[in-house]
Amino acid sequence: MAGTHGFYMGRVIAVAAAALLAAAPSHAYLDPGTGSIVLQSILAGIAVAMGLLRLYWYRLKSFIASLTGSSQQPEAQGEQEFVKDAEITNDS
Amino acid sequence: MTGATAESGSFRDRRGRVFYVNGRVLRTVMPIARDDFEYVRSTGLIDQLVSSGTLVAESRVDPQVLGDAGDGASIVLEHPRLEFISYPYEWSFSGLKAAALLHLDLQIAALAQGVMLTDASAYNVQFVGSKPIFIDHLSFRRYADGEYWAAHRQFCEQFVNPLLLRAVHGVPHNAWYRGSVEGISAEDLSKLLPWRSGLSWNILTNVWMQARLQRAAPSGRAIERAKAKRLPRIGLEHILRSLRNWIAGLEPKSKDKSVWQDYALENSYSSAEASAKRAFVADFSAAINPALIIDIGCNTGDFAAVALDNGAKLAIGFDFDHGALEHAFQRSRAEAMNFLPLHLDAANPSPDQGWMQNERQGLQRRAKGDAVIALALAHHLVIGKNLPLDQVLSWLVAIAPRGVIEFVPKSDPMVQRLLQMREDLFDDYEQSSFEDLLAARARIEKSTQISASGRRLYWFDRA
Repeated sequence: MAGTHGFYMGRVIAVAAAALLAAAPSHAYLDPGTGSIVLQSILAGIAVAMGLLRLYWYRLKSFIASLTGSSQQPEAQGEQEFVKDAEITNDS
Repeated sequence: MTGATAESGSFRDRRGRVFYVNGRVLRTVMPIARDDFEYVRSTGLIDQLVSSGTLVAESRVDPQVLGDAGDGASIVLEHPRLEFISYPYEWSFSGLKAAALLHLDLQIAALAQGVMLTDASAYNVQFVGSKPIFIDHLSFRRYADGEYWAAHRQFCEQFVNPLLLRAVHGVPHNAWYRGSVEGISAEDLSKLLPWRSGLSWNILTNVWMQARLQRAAPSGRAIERAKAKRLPRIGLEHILRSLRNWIAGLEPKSKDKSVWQDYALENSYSSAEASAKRAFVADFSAAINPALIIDIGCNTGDFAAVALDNGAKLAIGFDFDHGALEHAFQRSRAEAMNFLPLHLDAANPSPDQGWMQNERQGLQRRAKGDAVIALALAHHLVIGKNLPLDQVLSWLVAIAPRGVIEFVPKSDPMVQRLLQMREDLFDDYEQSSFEDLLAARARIEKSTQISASGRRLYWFDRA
């Protein structure tokens, strides 16, 4: 799993960097402005990266919990939803 | 034949427009918008928003009602008519903030149902009392997985940047917004903000970075490449929620003490005078029962409140002072009054402007009430702004067929204060000429002296 997360992180950074070059979405009734689109890709990249950090934090917590013998379930469902959302970045 | 008139501010969106037929408000949905329209209704979002009072109601009517004006519309909707249309350059800081939060709340609720707002125009928000309500039913369309928030820049220009002008610098947005109509650009605002404002993550990203990235215009090929890129939904939700949290915490800088905010405490009213004034306005309102009363110089809304308590249904207030407006807006919200206070420089009311000088209507065309009150106002216009008394009275009497106007004589301490630093050029500013001029424009139903200094209230009727 750790390898998978590393892969996602790489993709997130790659997508954010690529989007930095410019953008304009196809559904726009307005001119969204390149500044706004590039900014959104950066903010989204940060949000995804923060999500990944949170994931690692949960994993670390559950690892420590397993060492100390308490078997509290970490937010496994949140983890799955997050991974599903982040996969969108792979479609590009 | 049908007598349909197109709304002059509704033309940008080719997917439909608004018409008026015999006082009814109708909206066409053109064939290109039909799929989105049906999809959005199938999610239940529209019913949910209408029942929560955040979206104006809609009902489908026979498209024939529009005749040829319908222009092949697939669907025609009817909406309840709003009593009064106001514009963001007339709103108080808190009004604009409430409208911004409404827009974000709608976008967040919509996204949960797979729906996106096509734009972020502040003109799509109106007020019922102090409660913001969304009016553009064609702004909703299907969300495409991975799409960017195309309206982000417009949201910043029409909501965020004008709010920041006041929050960071203490400068009200109204004059600039009125001049630019579509809001304030990040490029312009970023030149004004102090460098330390960049320490705020939200200002750094939404203003500084956006302006910077906008200036660095990319090549055509880079744009083509980027068109294929996508914004993960989780990122979009994050952007919307963090904007919402940020805006909810914005306040006017230093809550600058306003001239009028403490008026009721500091001015030369005795409490007997204030109660005489209240009684007069209460009698007037009870006799007229106005559906819409317009209060010019509303200050913090004391007399609008008296009118509403005595038979008036809706009060629209206007004041020049931003501090008083803030106070009035918050009071209206706290007490759930059907009262909307708006900014007005009576010497320079909102003009007809925008495309063809007809997109946004001037105040003169909109501010037509069943009643008007103008208390402790005329002397500010005549002596403070050098406006001729006869014209001031003509203007006030034209706003509504019935009203109450206060005359404050030169001997009054408030007028003395206005004259302190200037020459008295106002020979005609006398009670007798006030009465003659008013009587030439309307019947004087009643007049009462309310202070020892000689202040008088006049109840006029030109109906």
